[in-house]
Amino acid sequence: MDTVLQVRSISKSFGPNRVLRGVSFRVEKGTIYGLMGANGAGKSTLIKILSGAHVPDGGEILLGGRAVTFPDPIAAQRLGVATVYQNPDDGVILDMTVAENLALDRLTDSSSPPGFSRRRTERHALEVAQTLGMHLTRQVLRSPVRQLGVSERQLLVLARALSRKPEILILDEPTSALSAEETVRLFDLVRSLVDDGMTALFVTHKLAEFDRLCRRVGVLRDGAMQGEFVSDERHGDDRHGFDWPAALTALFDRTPAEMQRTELPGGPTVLELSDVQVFADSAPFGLELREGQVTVLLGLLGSGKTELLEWVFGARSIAGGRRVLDGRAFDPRHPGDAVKRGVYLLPESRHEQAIIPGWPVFAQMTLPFVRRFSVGTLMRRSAERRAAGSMMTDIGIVARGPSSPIQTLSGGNQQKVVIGRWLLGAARVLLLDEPFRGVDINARHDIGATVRELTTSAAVLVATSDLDEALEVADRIVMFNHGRIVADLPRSAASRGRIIDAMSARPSTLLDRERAAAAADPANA
Amino acid sequence: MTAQVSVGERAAFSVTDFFVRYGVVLVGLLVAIVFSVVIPGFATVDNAVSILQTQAVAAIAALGMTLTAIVGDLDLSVGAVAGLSVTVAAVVMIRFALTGPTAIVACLIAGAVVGCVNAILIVWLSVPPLLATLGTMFTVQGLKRWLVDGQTLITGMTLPDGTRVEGRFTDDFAAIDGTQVLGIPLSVYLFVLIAVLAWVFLERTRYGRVFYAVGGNAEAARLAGARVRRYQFTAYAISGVLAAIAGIILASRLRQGDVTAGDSALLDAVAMTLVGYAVLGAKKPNALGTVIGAVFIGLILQGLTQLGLPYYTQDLIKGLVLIFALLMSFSLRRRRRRFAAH
Repeated sequence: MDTVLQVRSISKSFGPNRVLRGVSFRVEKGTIYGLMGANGAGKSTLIKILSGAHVPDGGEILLGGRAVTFPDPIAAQRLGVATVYQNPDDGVILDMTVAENLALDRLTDSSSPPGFSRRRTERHALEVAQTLGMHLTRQVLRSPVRQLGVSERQLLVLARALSRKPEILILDEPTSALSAEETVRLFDLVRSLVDDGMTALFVTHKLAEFDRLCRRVGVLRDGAMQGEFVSDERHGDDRHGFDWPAALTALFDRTPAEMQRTELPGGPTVLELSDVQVFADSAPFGLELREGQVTVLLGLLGSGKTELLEWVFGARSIAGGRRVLDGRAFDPRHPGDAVKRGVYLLPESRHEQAIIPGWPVFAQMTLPFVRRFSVGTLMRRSAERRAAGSMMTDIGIVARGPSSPIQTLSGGNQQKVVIGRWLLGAARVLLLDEPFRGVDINARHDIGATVRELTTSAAVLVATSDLDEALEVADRIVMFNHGRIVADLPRSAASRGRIIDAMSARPSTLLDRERAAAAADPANA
Repeated sequence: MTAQVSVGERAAFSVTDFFVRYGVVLVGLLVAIVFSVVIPGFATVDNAVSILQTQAVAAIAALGMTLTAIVGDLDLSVGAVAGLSVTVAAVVMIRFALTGPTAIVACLIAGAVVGCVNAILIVWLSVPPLLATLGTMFTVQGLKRWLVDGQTLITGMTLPDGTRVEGRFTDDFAAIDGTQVLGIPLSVYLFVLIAVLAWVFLERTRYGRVFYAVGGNAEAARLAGARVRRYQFTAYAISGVLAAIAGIILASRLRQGDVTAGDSALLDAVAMTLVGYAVLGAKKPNALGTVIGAVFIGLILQGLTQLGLPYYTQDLIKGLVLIFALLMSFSLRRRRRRFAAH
């Protein structure tokens, strides 16, 4: 087989920080190469080098045996390397229409005619969409990207990348915003493209996805390749092809201790919700949250779980409902009211909703409790630093110290900081919205353990759209679909199959409606 | 674990970093030394006090603007509000022959009202801050002209309706910028007091912390329990009051109802606030930076004036100083940021 991409001892430092220390690997033509690594292992830097966003300090990149350099992303694109980043908003212009976004390469190409014609733009857009098998209506083409959901934006970015007919496609955690059904479609698509001779480099946090897509997986840790694993086809179906214990050992530098735990039965009711109506057209329901166990609210994007959590926290209003906390009426009009009663929310998007850019770790943590860390109105910084420092030790945050700016921490550690913020308070109810998004397996286990410890004094509700995460942390699983509870099971009764039956797929409106309907039908039954 | 990592991982010394942090201060010191050598009598206490007195008006307005810049955007109405104080003081004392304290209260109320109008437009009615304050700037400028029929109010002048105005700026009002205690005018004490209060408020109190949180990420501040709108409202209201105080000092200096007074304070305040971004590498609006910005600009203008530079070149100098400071806080900063991106 031909080696289409070869990376030879690539190294890269940021200041004193050696992020990559000589990474080498090769990818054969027409295969999908999986790349795994914990947060901070150097994956993102490696991908940015391969896509031309960073220039390496040393080492070589060979494309089809020829050494190349990518001074900028355009150079990488010209040489046939297309990259789809994890955050689709990096690849779309929110205030332009779907058609303009899809046709952006033509619009910026200096050889295309100078006049702007909507008809021509929409024709190009349809051609581009065709590469993904999307059938777009005129209405969709003319609506601004801002109105689309995350998964739909992701599809646009992907369509644009594929329209350049790349030789090598780099996918950086492409499924983090997609539903199960959209993921299946994406994987089918990538497989068919690879069968046609394209090559893909695939990065994800989800082990199951490597099983479904890749024959070969490289493990990156501390800026160096720790090993390469090849799927063993003797098992027949490639579902259990990899030697996962060995791969995980390479990933974490310790043997993977499966989270052995007993299901907690749950104590007295802390928060009682009744007659809750999330959407105007959804039926009312009731839900009780108990102390002493972790309840998982499992639902896809758009199922209304974020709305429910934000309503409990007083951060938004919904169609209707009553809240009772510890037997007393609880009617927060503002998150500040909820914080006073010990009801805390970890929002869905860390960067947009939780972190104050540029602030040190300690100030991020003490923000909701500035009154407690002040004498009169004056802040006591030493007390803040002390409290943050001991919280960092308690929940295992890796940083230089409590005064480190938040952006110097890895994603998983940033997430621990915003969780640690609420642990400084006296929680009665902790609501966590997608706490594991963009967090590596190591940090996920730490966060799961932290959350379980908290159940001795508080009711914990974790909202997620990921089945594996739910099974990992839950004592009780509540399945949520379009603003209603479709199942409420103890962990022991929640089998994978039962859960999948209860959750219906949410077809993306951009996808072919007929196929989507067909796929969703059995699940709806 | 944390302690272990923290040892020996200090970032390497970088000239860029050093310049970003101390550039304005160093250049300021250098300029001061050069002027002291070249101009006899430059390095005197009197001269330093004179610089502070000259800049006090715009600097107090700039401190209010700093507050609004933290939670939203620059308050462009501060110059007009300062001018409104001059007009209101003149109308109260010259036209209606009332007392100095009455004039001060009237000015403060006028400033607070304009500040609250800004706040309502921005916080409740969702007008973008820069545009809302631009709107009130025009309105207030028009309002103060209308109040005095477009004329400069002077004691003894005849109004269009034929009456002669007999009131005058009272002695206690004129004392604000005229009387010296220990060789320093009262207005300079007022400026220093406001500067210290602003610094303590922003850097040391929990309110200041939340102000910066609201400015850094309003949604995150809200979800941490902060009443974001109250903070935004307060910032614009305080800015109006501070601009009114600046205007009171200016009125005390002018002692007549000049309709164009205060207009130039706006651009001076903008320059001071933006130069403040570059002080000590703060990269954000901050009270200390704004004060240093005021002193820096005052120092350069004073020195150049004493060297014989004509007054009409002042804006040119201020513009160049501002561009220098902006380059330091934005252009050098970008390189640094990219460096720290990982």
